[in-house]
Amino acid sequence: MSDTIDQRPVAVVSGGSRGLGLALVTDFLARGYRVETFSRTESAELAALRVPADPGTLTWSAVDGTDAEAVQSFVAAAVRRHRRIDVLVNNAAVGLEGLLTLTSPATIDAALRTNLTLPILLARACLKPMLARRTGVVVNLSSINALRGQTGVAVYGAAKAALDGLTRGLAREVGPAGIRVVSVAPGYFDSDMTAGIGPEQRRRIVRRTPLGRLGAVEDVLGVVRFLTSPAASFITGQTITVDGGYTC
Amino acid sequence: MRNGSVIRMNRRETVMTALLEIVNEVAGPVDHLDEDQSLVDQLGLESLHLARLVAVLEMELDTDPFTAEVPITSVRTVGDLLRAYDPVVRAPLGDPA
Repeated sequence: MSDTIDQRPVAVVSGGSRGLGLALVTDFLARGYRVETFSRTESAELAALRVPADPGTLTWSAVDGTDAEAVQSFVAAAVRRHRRIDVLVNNAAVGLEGLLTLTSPATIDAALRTNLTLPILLARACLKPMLARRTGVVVNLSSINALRGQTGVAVYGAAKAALDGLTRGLAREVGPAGIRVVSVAPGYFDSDMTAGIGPEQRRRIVRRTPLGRLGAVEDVLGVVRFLTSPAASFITGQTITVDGGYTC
Repeated sequence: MRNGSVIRMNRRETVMTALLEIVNEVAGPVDHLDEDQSLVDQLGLESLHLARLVAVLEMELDTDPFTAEVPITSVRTVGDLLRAYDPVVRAPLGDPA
């Protein structure tokens, strides 16, 4: 192993210790990728995915996503380790709910750092090895809140809408170098972020969803799997909504 | 001192090799570049080519001088590019690099 170059592709997933991030890490590993991920703390579920005999298969680092230098060092270490990055999934995000006038400027700033500045910095760093090899895919996890107004999530929606803007701008910028940039906008799906939704609101969402249910993590995984596969090689600069028709 | 010179020469060679590779791709086969040649007007490089060159060199040399020290807009010629990656030219006064 040591004298041959590891040909397995490399995926960087931000916030891979739980929820959708953990599911993405698991899925990329199952598809034969090496995975680099970070979060503030490691979960037991993520630790269980480690391969002791081959530590390069999954690497987790303790990184605070609001620390720009730590984020850059994380990517630099990943590039030194693997000499390539094939996929970046900007997954890490924090939920932020509340009327704008009742939200403190410090809370707004912290949310924007994680939900917008972090994905921009990660894209900046990961695009470099992609440019060097003239191939790669960036997937930005957006939200239907970027597409439709919703009380209490204006700042969250603004950050996600900005992320979609990043997707479109970068798609034009790096498309000529063979790199694709796409957004995936999930609707309401069972996750930590929607755990606070009450039963009545849940029923209302289901009623308004043509496909008659909340989304599942697998629904989002399937789209990310497609978008990072050769089957999607002519798709870039688009936001793919995965919401059972909620916004149609 | 001697080691410093070797590092400078190696860096120069690495920058030239990476640049030649991209220029060959853009403008066809070229075996020599002059320091006063303009990257954009004479060699036909576009900003994305420069971005790729910087990315390749960051992987090779583990440094990106354009993150802080040098504005990319100041690089117009082959010589400007070589100087941006030269640790001695780039080092501030008093720095032994």
